[in-house]
Amino acid sequence: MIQLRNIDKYIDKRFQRTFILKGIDLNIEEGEFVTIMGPSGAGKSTLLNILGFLDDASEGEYKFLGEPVHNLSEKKKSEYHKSHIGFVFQAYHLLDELTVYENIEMPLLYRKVKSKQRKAMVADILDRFNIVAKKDLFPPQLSGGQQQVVGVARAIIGNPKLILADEPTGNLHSEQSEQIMDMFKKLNDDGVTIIQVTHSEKMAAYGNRIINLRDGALVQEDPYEGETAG
Amino acid sequence: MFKNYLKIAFRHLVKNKSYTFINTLGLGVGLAACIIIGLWVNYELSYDDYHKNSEQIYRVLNGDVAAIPPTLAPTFKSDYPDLAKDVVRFWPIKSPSDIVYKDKRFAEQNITFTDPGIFDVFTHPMILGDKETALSSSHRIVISESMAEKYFGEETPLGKTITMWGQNLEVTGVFEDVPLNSHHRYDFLVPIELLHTFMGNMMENWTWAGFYTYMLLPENVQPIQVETAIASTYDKYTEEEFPAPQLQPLNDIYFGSAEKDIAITGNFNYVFILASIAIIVLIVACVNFMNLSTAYSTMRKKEVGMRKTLGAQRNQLIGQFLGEAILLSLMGLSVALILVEISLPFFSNFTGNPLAIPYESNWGTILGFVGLALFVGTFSGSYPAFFLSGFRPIHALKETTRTASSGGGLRKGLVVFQFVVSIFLIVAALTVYSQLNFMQEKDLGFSDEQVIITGAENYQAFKGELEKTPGVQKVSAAQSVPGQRFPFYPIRTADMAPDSLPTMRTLRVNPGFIETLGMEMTMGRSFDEEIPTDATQSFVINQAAANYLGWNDPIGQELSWYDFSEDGSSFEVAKQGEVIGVVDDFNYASLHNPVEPLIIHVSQDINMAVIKLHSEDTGKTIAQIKESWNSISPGSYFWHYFLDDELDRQYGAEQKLGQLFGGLTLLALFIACLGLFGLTAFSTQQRTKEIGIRKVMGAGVQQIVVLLNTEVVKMVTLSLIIAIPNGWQILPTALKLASVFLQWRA
Repeated sequence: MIQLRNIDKYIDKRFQRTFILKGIDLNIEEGEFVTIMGPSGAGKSTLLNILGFLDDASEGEYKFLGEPVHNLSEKKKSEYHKSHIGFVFQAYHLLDELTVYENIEMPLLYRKVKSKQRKAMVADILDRFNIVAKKDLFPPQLSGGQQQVVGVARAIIGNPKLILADEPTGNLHSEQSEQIMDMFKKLNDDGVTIIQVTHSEKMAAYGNRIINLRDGALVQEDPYEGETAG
Repeated sequence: MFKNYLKIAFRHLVKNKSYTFINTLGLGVGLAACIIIGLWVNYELSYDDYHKNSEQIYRVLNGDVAAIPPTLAPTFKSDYPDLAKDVVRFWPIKSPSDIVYKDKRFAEQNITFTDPGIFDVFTHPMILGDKETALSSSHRIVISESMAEKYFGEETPLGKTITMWGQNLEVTGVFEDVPLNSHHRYDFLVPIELLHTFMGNMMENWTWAGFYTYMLLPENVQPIQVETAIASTYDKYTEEEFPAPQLQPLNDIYFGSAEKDIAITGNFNYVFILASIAIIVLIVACVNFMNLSTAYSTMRKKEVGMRKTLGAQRNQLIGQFLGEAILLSLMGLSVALILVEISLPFFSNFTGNPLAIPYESNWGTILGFVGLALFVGTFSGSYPAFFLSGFRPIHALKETTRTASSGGGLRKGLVVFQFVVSIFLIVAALTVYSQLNFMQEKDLGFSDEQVIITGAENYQAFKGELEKTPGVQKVSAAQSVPGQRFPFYPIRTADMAPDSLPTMRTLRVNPGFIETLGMEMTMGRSFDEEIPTDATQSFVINQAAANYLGWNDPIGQELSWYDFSEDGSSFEVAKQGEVIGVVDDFNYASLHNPVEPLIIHVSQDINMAVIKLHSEDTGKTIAQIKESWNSISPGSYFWHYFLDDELDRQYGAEQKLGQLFGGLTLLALFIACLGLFGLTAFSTQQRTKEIGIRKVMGAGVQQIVVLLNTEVVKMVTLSLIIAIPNGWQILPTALKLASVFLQWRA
């Protein structure tokens, strides 16, 4: 599904080039549940953003579903955002002016889903995540965990093939975190590819593969380590 | 989708109330100013449009003089029947005349002698009577609706007899009042045929330039053909040399007034200047909008980022933000319409134009307003929309909020722009004011205070009574007084070539006129009642005339003054004599123009008494004067006015322009300040944390205030530096532009 070849990301400042990522080679197949780990500043979020087309790599080759990403037009990228990729953020990034229902509905609007079908889909998700009672509340009225549940609901309502989660449980206490991770696990069992960034070994254990980043480079890539830990 | 946009827009507006308030108010005030001035401009441009054939109606000018001989119209009509469908003459009376019906007697100003064809050329719907025959014989009169009301009330006016100039005239028609946006003013139309009774042979005179002549051209005739035909008519019938005739389109008359014009004229400069300022005010309001929305955009960053990661394309976001801008401008429009409704009556009253928003008459107006709001929304929303939609999601979503600083340079630039524009306007308004002041305080060359002007019937007896009245200082009489147009008559001096006959403005007075108005003699003496030759063979000229004639020592110079001959067919020497004095130049016309050469001589051909009063208890004195008038000329109407009031009125239009200018300027400044206030409030809000930290570190309130205000002071100072040195050139430039526009329009 994802092939990275020799990806670099750097910032040029005057005469100095600072590398954030350097020489990343990575393959991720469909159906994997990958965890990216590493200390602060290692470039985890940057890698995730590149994977989600939110950021461009400075050098290197990135193929998504066999198609080179650096050749994709803005339009094509937003097509992929609509149909293939869902995002979950540490800070939830729900729109404060919209209710829970409307936040979850928004991706469908960009996908031009018919009103009736939209209602059915949102109702279904609300039910599945057990937040029907909260549908008319605004995000600031919810607890962090509840907001993240909404965030996940929004990410998956369009049936994405890939979910990118940037420290999804970073702001949550353990019980809430487990709830979110259980959701991911279930989705992964249904065949959705998940790539998450986390600091927590415990959360990493939900995945089946761990990628360690240090100073912008892959330290270790052991496809079996995750399995034994899980 | 649209519903979602609308929802988020509304919730955003509700959440940021001060932002919404400032934007809506700013746009509302700007739009209101634009709409009101737009209505006024539209009204000014609509002059004489109401005539059905207005495109085909022309006025004949000789050179640039509007008053032409009475003989042209009938001659042209019979010689060139194909070139004009109809030709109509107007001869408005110059001073009020009494109109009498039974016990009702009023001095009326708006009386015009005209041809029966007036109703074929101009559109004046008749309420009563038949327009074909209404003016077809001499002793008839057609009156306006309001005059019918005034004189006849409930009675039927048709067939009634009213008296004017001692003639009994039958009322044969009532026409709808002439709209205010007409350059004509008449309430009474009298056939020109009646004028023959008074003027006799004068009506065949090719030199009596006193008639306004209008032509209705057939569609296929070009004005140039008619102009040529008029020129050859002159050549054929008269020896008189006329300047090249011109046809002036009816719709150009209001702004393109001619020499000796009929009445009301407008000033295209005013229209242009006010329209420009209104647009500037609107632009300042739009800039506010741009500034505030880009500043507040940091609050929408997350939304942009999120929408983009959810698959929104840039043009969708642009659409969303443009839509929000249009929503705001529609809100501004409703505020504007409320403001207009409230202020329009005052404005109408102020300008004297009956302005109203024509809601009911056409959909175009409403569409126009919505169109204006759409335009303003798009114009002011486009920059923020592109700015906002251009955020890269990765930056937009990052927690590090790069606050108001992004786009700050442009924002500061726009604030400076607003203030520069506002200061420019202030400087220009000050220029207008100082010019007005100059005109009002300039020495007129005579004293117009405590001077009243009245009629001059039975003048000698009236004068005798007046001289006995204790409140009266001095009394004299004249044919016209300063503020009116003095007529031109031919003159000749000994040094002139025999065939040249230059004309000069002439004022006919009784002795004592110069003293009554307190004018200064620079040489010689003024007229003396005791010296009989002063009435028959003496002239006083003004300094300009002495210069014009090239006389260093004018006293004793010989001069001949010409008037119409008895039969009115030519000019002949009417008075011959010598110059006895030179009066210092006094402003008898407008301060806009230099003083023209003037010749003054004694005559009993007078229209008005000039009375200088003592300053105390003028009301009582005027009542006594009225009593004397009524006992000497019983049944005649006593009218009077104060000369200074009348002269002040001449500058009324400029005064109003100045006030409007000032008002709009204040609006622009208000809107700019509103915007600056919004920005400052926003940046203060953004700097809450910084302020907190500084306070913890020990900063006092004063230091915080300085910190917050330094930016504002810098921007305003920069605006002052840019605007003030250049501001003085704005008005002349605007006037130049206006004249270019006027030419382009014509």
